[in-house]
Amino acid sequence: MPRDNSGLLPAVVRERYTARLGVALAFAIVVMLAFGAVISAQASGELRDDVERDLTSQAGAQADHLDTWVSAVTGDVRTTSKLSVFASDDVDRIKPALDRMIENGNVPEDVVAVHYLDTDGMEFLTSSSDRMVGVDPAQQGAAFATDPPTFDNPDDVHVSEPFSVPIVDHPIIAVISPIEGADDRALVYMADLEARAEALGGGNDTSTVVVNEAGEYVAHPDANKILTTSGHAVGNLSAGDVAFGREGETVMGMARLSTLQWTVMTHMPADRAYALTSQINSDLLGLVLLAIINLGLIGVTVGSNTALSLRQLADRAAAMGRGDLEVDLTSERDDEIGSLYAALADMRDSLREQITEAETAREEAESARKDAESAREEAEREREEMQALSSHLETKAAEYGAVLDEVADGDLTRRVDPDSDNAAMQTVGEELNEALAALEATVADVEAFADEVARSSDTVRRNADRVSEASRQVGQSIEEIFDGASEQSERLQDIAGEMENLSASAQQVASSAQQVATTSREAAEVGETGQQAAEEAIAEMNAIEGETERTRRAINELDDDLDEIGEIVDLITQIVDQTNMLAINASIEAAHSGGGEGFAVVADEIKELAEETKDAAGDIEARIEAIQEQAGETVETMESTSERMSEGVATVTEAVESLETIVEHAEEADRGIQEIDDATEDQAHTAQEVMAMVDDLAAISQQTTREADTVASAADEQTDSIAEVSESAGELRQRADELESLLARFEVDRSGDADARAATALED
Amino acid sequence: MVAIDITLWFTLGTLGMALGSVGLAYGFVVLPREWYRTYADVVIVTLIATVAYGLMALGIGEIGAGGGATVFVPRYVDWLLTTPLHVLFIAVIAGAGRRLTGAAVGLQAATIALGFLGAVFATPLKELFFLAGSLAFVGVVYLLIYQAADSADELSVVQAGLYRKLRNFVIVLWLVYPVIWLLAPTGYGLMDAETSSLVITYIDVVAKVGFGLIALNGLRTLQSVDTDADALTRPLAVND
Repeated sequence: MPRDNSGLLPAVVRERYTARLGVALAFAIVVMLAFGAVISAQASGELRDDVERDLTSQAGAQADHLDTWVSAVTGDVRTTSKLSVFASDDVDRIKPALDRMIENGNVPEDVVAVHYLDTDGMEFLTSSSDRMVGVDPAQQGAAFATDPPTFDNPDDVHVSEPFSVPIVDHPIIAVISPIEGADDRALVYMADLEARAEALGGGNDTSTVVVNEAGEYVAHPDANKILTTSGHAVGNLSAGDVAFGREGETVMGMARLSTLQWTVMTHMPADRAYALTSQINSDLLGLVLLAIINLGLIGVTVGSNTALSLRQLADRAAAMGRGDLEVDLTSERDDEIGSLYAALADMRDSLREQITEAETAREEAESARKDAESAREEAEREREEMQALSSHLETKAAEYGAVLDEVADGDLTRRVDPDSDNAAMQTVGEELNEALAALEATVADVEAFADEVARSSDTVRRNADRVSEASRQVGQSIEEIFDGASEQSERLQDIAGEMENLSASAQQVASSAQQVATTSREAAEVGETGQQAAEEAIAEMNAIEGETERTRRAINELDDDLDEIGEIVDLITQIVDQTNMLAINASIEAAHSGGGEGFAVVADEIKELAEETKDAAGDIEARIEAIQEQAGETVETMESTSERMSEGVATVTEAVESLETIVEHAEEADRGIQEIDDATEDQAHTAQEVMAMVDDLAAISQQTTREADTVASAADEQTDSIAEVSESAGELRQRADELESLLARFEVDRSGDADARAATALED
Repeated sequence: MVAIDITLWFTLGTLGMALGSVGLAYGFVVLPREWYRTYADVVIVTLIATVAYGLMALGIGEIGAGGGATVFVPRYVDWLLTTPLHVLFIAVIAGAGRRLTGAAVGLQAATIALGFLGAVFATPLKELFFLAGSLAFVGVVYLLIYQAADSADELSVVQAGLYRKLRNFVIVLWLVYPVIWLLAPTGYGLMDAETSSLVITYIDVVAKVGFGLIALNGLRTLQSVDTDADALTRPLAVND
C-alpha cells in the first residue's frame, strides 16, 4: 500500500475516494452550518438590538411626546390661569372665554374641556362644557377633588391622577392651576386620556401603553383597559430613562416621563419583533439545506460517478495487473477519466503487444534454454556415459586385470566377462577370452601330451626294463646255455675221453646220458625259455619301437602344438598391442573429454596389464622354444634309440634264431641222448659210432658255445641298448615331468579341451 | 412583479417537473422499445409531481395540521406514489427478486404515509410517527444497499454501476427530506413554510428529474456498452 501524504486521515477515509469526497462534503456542510449559525447569531443579535433600540426609542419618543404634551398642557394652564379674565371671577365673562378656547382650539391637544373651579366649594363655576357647569368634581370622584392639591403660588400646576367620572365617557386627566388674582379659584384642563392614548397609537405591530406609578394604565389602545391595573412591573426607572424588557411573548421598550411619574411602554409581540430574525434563520436553514442538497448531488453524481468509474478502472487495472489483458476499457465518459480509460486501453494494448513480444522472446529464450539444456544434458549424459564408460572400462579392466592376474598365476580356466557396453572393450574381452581359451586348450594339449609322453616314457622304460630283464634272463640263459654247452662240450670231451671207458661204465654212461638228457632237456627248456624271452624281447622291442615311433610322432605333434602356441602367443602379443593401443587411445580420449582422471588411470592399468600379458606371452614363447628344443633332442634320442632298438631286434632275432637252433639242437641232443641212452646198451656195439657221435656232439657243443657266446654278447649288447633306451625313456620322462611341472602352474579345464580345441579350430 | 412566496416556488416546481417530464420523454426516442415499460417509471414520476405541484400552486389540497402548520396533501400523495416507483426502478435495475422489491416498495410507501401522519398530528404523536417513518426508511435503505447488492453482484459492471449510482443518489437526497421535515413547520418550524417549500421544491425537482436523467443516461450506456440485449431486458422485465 503506497503511503500518500494525507497520513492525517484515518485509513478508512484515506483508502476510498468516496469516503474522502464524503468527508470533504461533510466538512463543507459543517463549515456551512457553522457559518450559518454565526450569521444567524450575528443577525439575531443585531436584529435583537435593533428591536430593542426601536422599541426603546419608540417608547422614549412617546414619552417625550407625552412630556411635551404635559408640559404644553401645564404651561398652557399656567399662562391661561394668569389671564385677567379669570381673575375677575365673573362667570359670564369667563364662560365665553372658555368656550372660545375650546372652540378655537387654543388649548393643547386632547384637552377636551376647561373648567373654572371653585376650589373651596369644589364646584365647577363654569366650564367650556355646559354639562359640567355646577358639577361637583369631588362628588363625581375626580382625583383632584377627592384629594385636592394645595398651591403655594400662582405658578403651581397640579396634574391629577387619571380618573374617570360617570359624567364623562372617557378617562380623564386633569391639570389644575390656581388663578392668579382670585382666591380659591383654579383653572382645570381636562384631557381625554383615551384620545391621548389613541394619539400615542404606535406602529402596526406595536402598541403603546402608559402606566402610572401605581401600575395602572394611563393610556392603552384598548380604552377599557385604561385605569385598570396593568400588571406590568414599572420598575425603578428614573425620570427620562429608557429600558427594554420582555414579558412572555411580548417585548417592550419603556421610557419614564420627565414631567410625570408615568412610564411609556411600547409593546410588541416577540414573534413580530423577531420575525426578521426567524425569517433570516429560516432562509439560512433553507440555504444550508439547499447547499447540502447540492453537495449531496455533487457527491452522488460527480463523486459517485467518478468513484464508480475509478473503481471500475481500478478493478480493470487490477485485472490487467493479474494478467487479464482482455478487460473492457471502453468508457462512455469524455472527460479526464474517459481519457484515463483511453490511456489505460492504450497502455493495455501496448502491454499486450509487449507481453506478446516478451512471450515470444521468452518462448525463444525458453526453447534456447531447452536446447542448451538438452545440449548440456547430452554433454552431461556423454560425460556420464564417458564416466560410466570410464568406470565401466576401469571395472572391466580391473576384472580383466584380475582374470589375467589369475591366468598369469596359472588358472587358465578363468575367463573375462566380455559383456560390455563398449564394443572395443567387448572385443578386447572376447579376444582375450578366445586367446585364453586357445592358450588353455594349447596348455591342456601340452599337458595332455606331456602326460602322454610321461606315460609313454614310463611304458617305454618299463618295457625297456622288462626287455632288460628278459635280456638279462636271456643272457643268463645263454650263459647257462654257454655254461651248459661248455659243460656239454667238456662232457662231450669227457664223453669222448670216457667213451673209451664206456664199456666199462655203461651204467655210468647210461646215467650220465640220462644226466645229459636231463641237462639237455633243461637246456632245451632254457633254450625255449630264452627263445620265448627273446621273442618277448623282440615283441617288447617292437613295442618299444612302436612306442618310440609314437613318442616321436607325439613329440612332433607337440612341436606342431608348440608352434601353434607360439602363433597364439603371437596373437596374444598382437591383442596386447591392440589393447595397448586401445589404452593409449582411451587415455587420449579421456584427456580430450577432460572428464576422466579415472579413465586415464584405467587406460594406464590396461596398458600395464597388456605389457604384463606381453611379458607373460614372451615368457611362454621362450618356454615353448625350450620345450621344442628338448622335444627335438628327445626326438633325436628317440630316433637313435629306435635305431638301436631295430639293431637290438635284429640281434635278438638272431639270438632267437640261435636259440631255436639251440633248442632244436638241445632236442636233438635230447633225442641223441635218448638214442645214447638207447644206444648205451648197444654202446659197446656202437662205441665207435658213439665216438663219432661224440665228436659230432663236441663240434655241435663248440658251435653252440660259440653261438651262445655270440648270443650272450648280443644279449649284452641288447641289454646295453635297452639300458640306453631306459635311460632315454627316463630322460624323456624327466623332461616330460619338467614340462608337466612347467605346465602345472596352468590350470586347465580338461572337460573344456574340446571347446578349447574347437575355439582353436575356429580361430584357424 | 411576481411575489416571492410559496406559490412562486410551487409554480416553479410545476414548471421544473413539467420540463423534466418533457426532457425525460426524450428517452422514449433513444431507448429500445422493450425498455419503455421500465423507463416509463421515471417519466410517470415527474408527471405525477407536475400534477401535484400544479395543484399546490393553485392552493388546492392544503389542510391545517395539529401543530398549526399547513400540510400540503398533494405533496404527500405525490411522494406516496413516486418514491415507491423510484425504489421499484432501483430494485429492477439491481435485478432484485419480487419479495425484496415488494418489501422495499412497501416500506417506502409506509415511510411516506407515516411522515404524512407525523405532519398532521401534534406532539407527541408527531414524533412517534416520524420515528416509525424513519425506521421504515432505514429498512428501505438496508434493503437497497445490502439485499439488492447481492443480486447486483451478478450483473454487468455497467448495470451494477447504474444501480449503485441510483441507489446512492436516492439515499443521499432522501436523507435530506427528514431533516427538512423536522426543520419545516411540519416538524419544529425552524424553517418557515416558504423556505421549506422552496427547499422541498428544489430537492423534489432535482431528485425526480435528476433520477430520471441518471436512469436515462445509464440505460443508454447499458444499451451502447452491453451488446447482450437479452441479459438486460430480462432483469429489467422483473416488474411485469
